[in-house]
Amino acid sequence: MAKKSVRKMNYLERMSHSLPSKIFHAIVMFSIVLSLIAVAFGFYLYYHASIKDNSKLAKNVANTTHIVVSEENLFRYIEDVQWIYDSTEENVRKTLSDEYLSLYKHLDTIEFENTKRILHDLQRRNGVDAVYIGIYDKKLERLIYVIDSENGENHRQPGYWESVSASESREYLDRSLDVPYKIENSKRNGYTLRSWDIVSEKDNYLVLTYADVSMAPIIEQGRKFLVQYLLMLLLVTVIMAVVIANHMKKVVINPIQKINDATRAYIADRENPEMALEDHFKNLDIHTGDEIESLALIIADMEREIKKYVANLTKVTSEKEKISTELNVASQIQEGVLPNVFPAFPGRNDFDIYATMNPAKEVGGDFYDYFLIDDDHLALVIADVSGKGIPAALFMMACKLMISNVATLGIEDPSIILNKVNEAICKNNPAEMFVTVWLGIMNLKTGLLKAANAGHEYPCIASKDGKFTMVKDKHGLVIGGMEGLNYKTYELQLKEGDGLFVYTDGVTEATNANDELFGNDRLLEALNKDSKANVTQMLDNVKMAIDTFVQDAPQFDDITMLGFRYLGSNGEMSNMEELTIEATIDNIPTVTEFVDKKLEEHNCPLKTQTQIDIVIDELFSNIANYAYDPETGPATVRVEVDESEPMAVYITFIDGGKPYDPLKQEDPDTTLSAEERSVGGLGIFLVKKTMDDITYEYKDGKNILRIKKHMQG
Amino acid sequence: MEVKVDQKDNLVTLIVEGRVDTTTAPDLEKSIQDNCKEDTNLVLDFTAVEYISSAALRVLLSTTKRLKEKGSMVIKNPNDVVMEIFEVTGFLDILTIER
Repeated sequence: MAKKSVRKMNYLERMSHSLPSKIFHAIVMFSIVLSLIAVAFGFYLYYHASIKDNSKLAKNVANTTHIVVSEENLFRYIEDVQWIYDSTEENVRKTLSDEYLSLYKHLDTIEFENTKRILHDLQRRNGVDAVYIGIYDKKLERLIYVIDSENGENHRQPGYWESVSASESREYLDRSLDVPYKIENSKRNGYTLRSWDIVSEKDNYLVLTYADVSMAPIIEQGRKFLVQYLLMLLLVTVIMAVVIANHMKKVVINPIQKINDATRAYIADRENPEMALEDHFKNLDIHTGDEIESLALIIADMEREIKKYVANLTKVTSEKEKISTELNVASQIQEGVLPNVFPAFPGRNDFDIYATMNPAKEVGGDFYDYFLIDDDHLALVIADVSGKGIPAALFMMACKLMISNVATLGIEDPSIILNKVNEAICKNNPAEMFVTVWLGIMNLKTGLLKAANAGHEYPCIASKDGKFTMVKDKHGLVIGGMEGLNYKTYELQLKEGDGLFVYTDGVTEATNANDELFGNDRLLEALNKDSKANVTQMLDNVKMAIDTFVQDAPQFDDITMLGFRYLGSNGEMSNMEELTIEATIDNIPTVTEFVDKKLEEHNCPLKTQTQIDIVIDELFSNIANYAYDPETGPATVRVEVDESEPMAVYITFIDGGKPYDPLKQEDPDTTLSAEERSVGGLGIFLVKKTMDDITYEYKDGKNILRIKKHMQG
Repeated sequence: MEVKVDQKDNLVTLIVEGRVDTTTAPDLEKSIQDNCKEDTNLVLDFTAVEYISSAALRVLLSTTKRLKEKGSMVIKNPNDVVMEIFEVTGFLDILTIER
């Protein structure tokens, strides 16, 4: 991290010094281009001025030539030369040999020399390089020299000719040219400007006076001019560049550098919280009066805003942290109210229980609960509060306490408990929250489970063949939904080793990445993977199946599960006694005597004993009258006393007759008048009313009816 | 169970002792039928009755219905156990009981 920022700083450092050199380079480049254009243009102007001057000079000299030479002499020379040239064979003329040139020898008189001298004088005085008179042969495109001002090696003798192209000769005749001239690279004088004037025209011949000006001095002078011009421009350019660069540095770069430095200091101080309060941009001292000053002011404003924002953010964050801490505490309190020490009842070996809750958020609305109402009755609760977070948690606490409070009052009917809880909650539920509850009360002596369902998921029971199935129990409305509801209790007979699994919708509605639900089938599959597993393993199997199914998808809802396994009542009670006898009315006193003897041994109150005697009369007479009708058969009466407090007696009637569940008989309407009353069902009704518990089971071809009565005065 | 009969004109008093259950209820029924006509004012003295079962209730119900038009039936001094049975079965509203 540190290394990276150092490297970054070096990079910034390099960048921050590139602007002056960039500007300097740009100015120099710009100046060079400008200079080159200026030089090219300057040269062009100079050159043309020189050509114009020199061509005018040459023309004037050419014009003057035939004036300074006496006309008489001039025409004689021209005629002579023309005559000699015409009268000579072309193949001789062509050679330009000394022999040919000697044909013109006689022209070289004193007069001719004088004329030549005059021309030379003209040449010298006017500063041109050559003045001469010639005849132009239109047919053969030749200029034949008549007289030439030059001396020495460049001298052209009369009769000497050179080729002149037709294009040049056309210009001889073009009278429109103000100053006729031609620049050519002549053998005689090198790069030369030539001007002319026509003296006369006859047949195939033109007579012209010429003046040549050598271009060499013009070019030489131009070169000098260019060098000086260029040097001067470069000097001015460099001085300008330095001045502009300096100015830019003062007006633009230095202020930017200041902002740059302040920003860097600001970043460094941000990383060090102690320095974070310093102002970096407030006193930058930038007074350029342009966009840069405006930029500095805007940045200063921005810094102030950021500082304000950071201060606010710090405050909000600390408040948020406080709330988060409180939420954690709430979560701990909530976890604390769910019983979570296992084994939950180390002293008991007649059942096994285990429960877990995995909240989706920090505070959830699911809960489970279990507690012993008395030695024989275990309450099992699983519930799911609507909504999430703190409101759900508060509501959950209220519901949990209410259910356990009502249940521990000694009410053993789940529907009545739910009715009361519903009334209490509906009375004061401004937030209109509700809770689904499954409440079961397990009779640990008999294995009878009484349960009621207020809109909660179906419970799973491991049935006789050991496989878990869903009990499609009758659902009431959710608790808190409506006042005055009557929930229905239903009963399930659990046998030794039977399991029970209840859960919240977080289990069946666990969702994987493809938005598929875990569902009931997968739940049953997980439970039946090892349907005989102990409760801890049972819940682990389900959790594992959910985790495998869901994989990395987020958990939306609390996952709460409660597993229960009934291990049977504490074996047969040691004091159990049994009587098997033929089921006849006559044998009722024998049975009564057998039971009474046992009750007397345990000092049973007389009233209780009387009630039990009536029950024996009712139940045994039923067996005698109906079980084997019209035959008779054996019946077994088993009596056992649970000596733990509160003391209770259990009497079991077993017969092998027709299957008949007396508990299914409807209770008689005790409010009817004598005329309307029938006598049916009174016996079993009496039993239900006077005994504390009664269960029926048909097992292995036998009707098994078991009653329980507390033996208290 | 034992039943003693005390008859004065139309007023018949049956003094019942012991348990009136499935076994003995038919005896009580027979004794009532033997001693009562439709216009009899029947008094059942239950002072010595230990308890009754639903079989006894059946007898009491049918007798009440029979005597309702012209005669009457009164049950005297039933004990707590018997009273409780009358109570839970709704017979308190049907029977005339003197304590």
